[in-house]
Amino acid sequence: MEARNWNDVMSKIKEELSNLAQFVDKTRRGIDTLETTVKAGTERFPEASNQIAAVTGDLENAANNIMSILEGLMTEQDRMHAVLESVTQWAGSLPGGDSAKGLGFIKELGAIHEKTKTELMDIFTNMSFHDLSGQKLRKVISSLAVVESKLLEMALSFGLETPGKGNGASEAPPEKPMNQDVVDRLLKELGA
Amino acid sequence: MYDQNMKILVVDDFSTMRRIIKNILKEIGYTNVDEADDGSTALEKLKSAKFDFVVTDWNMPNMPGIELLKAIRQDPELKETPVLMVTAEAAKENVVTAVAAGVNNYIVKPFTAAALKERIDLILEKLKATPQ
Repeated sequence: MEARNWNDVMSKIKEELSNLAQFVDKTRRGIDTLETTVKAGTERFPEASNQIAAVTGDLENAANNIMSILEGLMTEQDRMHAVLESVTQWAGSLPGGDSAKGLGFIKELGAIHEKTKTELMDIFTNMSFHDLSGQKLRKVISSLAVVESKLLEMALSFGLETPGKGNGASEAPPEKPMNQDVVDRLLKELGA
Repeated sequence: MYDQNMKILVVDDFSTMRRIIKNILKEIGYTNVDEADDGSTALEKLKSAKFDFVVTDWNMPNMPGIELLKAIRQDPELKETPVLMVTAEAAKENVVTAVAAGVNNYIVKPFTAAALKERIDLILEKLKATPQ
């Protein structure tokens, strides 16, 4: 082989080796970044799960406080019902025109009372938002545990020291929810 | 209206939901209500005292509602107890599983007082019509 050809070959090899060195360096830096990410993830996911669990607890306390107030109001509504019955009897014993007028007012008060009672009950039933959001948050915590578990596996493969393993809850398959009408039809079909 | 004094066990891991169901039951006339926070606690209560009706959630720790239902249906002393499943799990597969396990009816959260009353009445009507 001629000297010029050798020079070309050597130059090509140098260029390839330089590219390879750059690639190795880039990969090493990438792995360093990945290690940092994995380590941060394994430390922060349990914290995120704890925060979400705390939110669930706060929601429960708030829901219970609101329901205590609602129960108090509903007890007052029962008392009002009893008072309205007594007043109706009393108004019935009044002379002619006064009795009719009094009973008219009481009827109106009774309608307001019934509407308020129904609406208080509606607020009460809507407090189930806590249960529904709580269940969804639990699923989020389960998903975080799955991601945390995968990160831990990666961390172990890098030989990183990791904090304690999380709950490791299994991944829930997505389900298509149905409304009550569909459930009722299905129950009928199934003979329940 | 059925026996207003029937003893009902409400099973749910969320205290707020138990409170809501108890208040709805009170509103529709049922005041003899006890509660449990999961299936295993419920089963202990069912075995130690007579209950006429069970309202249970599906998703609970330790023993989910579906396992409680199966345990009730397998126990000779409890198997006739009516069970209403109250749950956010409204997937077809869940309903089919619950019916196969012997649930009497199934109600999806969130629900109204009227919806709960309708289902309880439906269960009691069917039981009344069924020859013993």
